[in-house]
Amino acid sequence: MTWQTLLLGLGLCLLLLCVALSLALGSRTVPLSTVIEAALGRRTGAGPDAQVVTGLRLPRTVLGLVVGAALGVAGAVAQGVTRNPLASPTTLGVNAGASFAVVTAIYALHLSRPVEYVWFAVAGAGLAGLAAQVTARRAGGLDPTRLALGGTVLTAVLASWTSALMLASRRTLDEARFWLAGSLDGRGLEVLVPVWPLLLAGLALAVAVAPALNALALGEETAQALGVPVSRIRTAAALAVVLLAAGAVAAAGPVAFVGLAAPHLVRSLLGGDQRWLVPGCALAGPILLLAADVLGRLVARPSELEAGVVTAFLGAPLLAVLARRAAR
Amino acid sequence: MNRRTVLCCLAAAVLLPALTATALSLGQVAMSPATALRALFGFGQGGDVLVVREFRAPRVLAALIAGGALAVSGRLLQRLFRNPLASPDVIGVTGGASFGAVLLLALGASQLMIPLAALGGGLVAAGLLGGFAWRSRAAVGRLVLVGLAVQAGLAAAVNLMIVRFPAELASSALQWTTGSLYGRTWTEVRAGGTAVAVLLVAALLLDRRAAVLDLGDESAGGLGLRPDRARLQILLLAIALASLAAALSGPVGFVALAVPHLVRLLAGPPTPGTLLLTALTGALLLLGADVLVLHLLPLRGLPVGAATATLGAPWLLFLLTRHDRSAP
Amino acid sequence: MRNQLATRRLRLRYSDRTVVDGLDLALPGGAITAVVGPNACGKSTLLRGLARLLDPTAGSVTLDGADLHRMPARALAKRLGLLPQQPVTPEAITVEGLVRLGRHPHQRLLSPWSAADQQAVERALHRTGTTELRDQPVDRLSGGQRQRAWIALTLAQDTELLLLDEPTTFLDLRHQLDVLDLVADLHRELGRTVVMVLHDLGQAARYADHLVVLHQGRLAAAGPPGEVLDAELVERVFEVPCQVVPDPETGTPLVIPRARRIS
Repeated sequence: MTWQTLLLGLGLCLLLLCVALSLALGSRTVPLSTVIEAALGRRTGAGPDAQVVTGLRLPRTVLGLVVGAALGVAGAVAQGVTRNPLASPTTLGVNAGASFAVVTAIYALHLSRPVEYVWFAVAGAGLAGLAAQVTARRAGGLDPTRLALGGTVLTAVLASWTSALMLASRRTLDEARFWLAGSLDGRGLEVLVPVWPLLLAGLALAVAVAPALNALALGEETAQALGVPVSRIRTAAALAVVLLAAGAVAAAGPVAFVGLAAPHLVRSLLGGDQRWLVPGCALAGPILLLAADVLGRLVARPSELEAGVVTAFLGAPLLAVLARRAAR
Repeated sequence: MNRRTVLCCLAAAVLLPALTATALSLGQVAMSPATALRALFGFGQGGDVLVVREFRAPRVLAALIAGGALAVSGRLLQRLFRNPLASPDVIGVTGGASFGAVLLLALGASQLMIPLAALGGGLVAAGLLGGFAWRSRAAVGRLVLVGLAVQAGLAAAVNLMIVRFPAELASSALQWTTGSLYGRTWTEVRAGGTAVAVLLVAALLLDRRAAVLDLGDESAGGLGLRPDRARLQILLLAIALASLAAALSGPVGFVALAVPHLVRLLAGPPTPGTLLLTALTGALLLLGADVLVLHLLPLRGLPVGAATATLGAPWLLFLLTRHDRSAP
Repeated sequence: MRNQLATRRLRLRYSDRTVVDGLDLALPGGAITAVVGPNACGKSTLLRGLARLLDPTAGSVTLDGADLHRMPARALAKRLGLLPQQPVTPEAITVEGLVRLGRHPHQRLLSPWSAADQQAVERALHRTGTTELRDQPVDRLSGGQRQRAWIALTLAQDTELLLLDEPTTFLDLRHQLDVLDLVADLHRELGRTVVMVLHDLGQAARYADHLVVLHQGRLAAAGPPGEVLDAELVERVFEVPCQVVPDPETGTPLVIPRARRIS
């Protein structure tokens, strides 16, 4: 009990550090005093340095926090409900749906600003997520294996169509590839406006089903005997994943690796209890994403690397090392 | 071998030459399938022979070989990991092959080098997996996690290159990673075909060990099998097959994921017979998809990966739902 | 005496804890040995060590004097078969398909399925009474039938030594006795040496010639059940006050726990 709280506390400290770094570091060198004053709301709008902090870095950091937490929690729930370590929010077809919708919109409607993509991403993600659930419906409940398989198949199909569209139109490829890499840059806080309700609903559902997912980990029959309404819990959990992941992908583009890696990282530290996994992933997700974002700003100065790309570079060795250390 | 397996194998064995002949007969120089088939073996008019043997046959054969290799690789991995989502993606081979190929594209190497780069990249990724995950024992859980990490890191690198490349290069990189049979030569087909044939025989021979491994490590150990060694053999086989296929056709992920499930739903649990059927079905699917994008669809330049997924997904989903109703 | 398993100062451990330590044991060949002891005393671990699934960190296991851990895996599998406590049943496999896998140690990479292999499978099916079930999928069988199918797999392996890890768990009384009678027949008619982990002391005393009692990874007692099993031992090892009376049917020791809370 205590050591888990301790680890969560440590995680919180680490997250705060990431937030601070995200505000302080970037391609433009801003004196620390200015960062602190601007972040605290003093001298707002005074000088270009403060403008960078409040106008660019602050929204970006908030976005990283929200998206990272959403992806982390979605990953924890996705692996919990499918009981498959290979599962992630991506597995349910959400990212592929959003990508396809956005690329189609760029192709057909000639959109060019991430803010304009949001609604298409939400719609595409939601539709694909629901479609994956429809394929997995079985005798009134969700079959977890088929949910994972159906979602993966759907992802493969949508991803290949997305590629086909981009190959058919050079302009689409040029516009879409930056969005598809997943980035916190240049989004602005207005992308969060339409997705807030989704994220909050998803988070509430995820927290609510956590104890029941613990029971489900013991097997369907045991869960039933413990009074868990198995099919309803599965549906609710899958819905939570879709809501969270749809919100995240709409805001930041398809960042794939956070949702996959965060639960594994947290599990190796806190154990498999879903009630610890959810808050743990809510911390680990943004830590990973913000750290990646900060790193992406630093390594390629004065240019930047997309956070979606750097997350994988950062998280992959971490995952490999942790897997190596894990007992089995 | 049960009756359904035999029937399915027979059907595939009839369909395969028919589809091959059709594929060889289509194109700017029209001829009948029978003429095309004769021309393949050097009979008939000189012009036909030239067109079929020099231009069409390498591509058709490459599709057959790569399709079969991918499907068998997927089946080996799904069985080894006891995970329905396993495919060469999971062990990093896809990412490695893509990375190798795209890197050489970026360096401006000649088209002839790309297959070798893909093969090398796949094997390097497998080496990374081995380096991290091998620790005197091959625990499945660790292999999967490290594989995912390797894959994510390499895929991110590919993604980064696609984002950073000039649009022209990004387009050819995307084309390759979606799957492309363009520009295959006889040399590649001969070398790849021989290697895949040898590996298929090895897979058939190892099938007995795979069956014993299905009984769990304890029983397998009691039957005189070294589970870790057998797993390593099967894993190496899957890696080699997937890397070869990626060299010939690019990483068409869907074949490896879906064909083993298709075969299981059509012909039942794994036997040496269904292994053969898996190879045949994979070959049929990839060649069918290639015929579709090359000759039947009005869209030019559609990647074969897109057609494979589009063609295979409804079939798989249909079988999944039908299978469901017949289940108890 | 052939088929004699012995351990010398055997220590078996998993990565984090030692389960069996300093065990000196001689299991008579041509007999039925029952290994008993409280939960977590190292019974199953010992069996894993005897079947070479677990390498000892110290000491050795010998079979007729030869170091078990230096024998080739396949050669050992021809002499010693193992039925794990919770075997993994492959999806949709038939009973015959399962039993055929028992022939694995007798087959080489290229050798085809031989008449001798088929005979061994038929014998195993017949002896376990699963011939009629041969085409049924194992995952649809009842617990008793499934256990018999698994024993058939072990029999098809055609080994003189059989290690059975709690072969009667999850079975009702009749099926427990069926399995134990089968084991007794194998011993009496075919001269098989059997080492099995059991939970029921009465059954162990009835069916075994030799009893091994483990306690906290060490040997608490070993010998013929009639000599070894007494109230003092049971109380010490299982922490259950009891009296031991002769089994009215067989005369072997029968453990009757003392009433704990009868007002």
